[in-house]
Amino acid sequence: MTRAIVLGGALVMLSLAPSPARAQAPQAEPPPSPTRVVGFGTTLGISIEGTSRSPSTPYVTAIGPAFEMRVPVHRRVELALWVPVINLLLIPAVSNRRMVWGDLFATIYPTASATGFFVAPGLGFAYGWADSSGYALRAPVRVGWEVSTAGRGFGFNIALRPWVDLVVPLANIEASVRYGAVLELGVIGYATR
Amino acid sequence: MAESLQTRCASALQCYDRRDKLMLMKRFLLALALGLSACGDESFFASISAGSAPNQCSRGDARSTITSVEISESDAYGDTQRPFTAIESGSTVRIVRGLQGADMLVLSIRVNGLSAPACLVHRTDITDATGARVTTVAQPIMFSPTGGVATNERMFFPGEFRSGTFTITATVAGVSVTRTVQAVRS
Repeated sequence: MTRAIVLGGALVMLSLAPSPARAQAPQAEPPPSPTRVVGFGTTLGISIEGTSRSPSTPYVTAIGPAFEMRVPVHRRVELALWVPVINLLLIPAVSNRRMVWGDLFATIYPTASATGFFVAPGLGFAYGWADSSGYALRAPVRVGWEVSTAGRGFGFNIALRPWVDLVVPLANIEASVRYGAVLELGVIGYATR
Repeated sequence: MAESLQTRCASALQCYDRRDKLMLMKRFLLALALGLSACGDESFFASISAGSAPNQCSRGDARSTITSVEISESDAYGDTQRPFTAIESGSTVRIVRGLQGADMLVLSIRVNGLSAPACLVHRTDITDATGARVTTVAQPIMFSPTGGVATNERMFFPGEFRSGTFTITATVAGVSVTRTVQAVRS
């Protein structure tokens, strides 16, 4: 009886002791963070800009809240559609002007998965009309820093957006160049899976 | 009426002040409204603006019976009645700072010899002393004559104006007038 108890205890101890194979197994990887599916958010910005038609006149423009939609195409790349809806609604409310304007960005996170430093080259288009009409082909670039929540459900970013436009009036006057930079704060909420 | 005015204003000077304040208030409210539109991408509209000419029309007639074209300074805000005074070469014109911060000349164009209302091809170029173009307005204008004379008032010509010499060339339906003027800040 005593011998059986000792043998049983030894078996229990043996079963609890780590096997050599188990001791050498690599640590299990943490579960992957959620994948972002689509994001919607807004940005607020302040822009200082000028135009080659009147280079000595700086223009300061408040931008936002603007609408932004993001579609991740990779864990480190997101496509972003940005439209300054409030500005576009305010313009005809206070003047006889009308405008449509949108920028499309490819937001690239070179160092981490949708967080940290990012650079976002973009293309944009604007069309406006009042007494005269014209359109602009836009080339903006966002450079900034993003912080994501643990579950990747929200991203907060601060960015500087230098940009240059080729403005083509539809009147009998020459095209001109517009340029500027926007300092902007953004928050994006994501659907994840 | 005089008694009523006398009741409201202790003196003619006070009446004048009141009108002045109302005018200032009107301009302030207009500036405020336009300032709000600064959240509307002002530089874009400055880039596409070819100036503004009232009574614009489409399909301007390039040939007409007009015999001459004249240019006059015009009032920027429309709150005074500035008589049409044809600008001659050597005349002085005012550079006006618009409510949106842009400098501009405000001119009127008068055509003579027009017998009936007509949409006429129009182009006005303003160049500086070096010959560089400062601004252009190229829009057909509807001229409605009275006694053969038709005036299109308060045309805005925004541009990089500094005090100095400028040449204004206005062409309506093939008839041109060119004047070299001295522009000064008002």
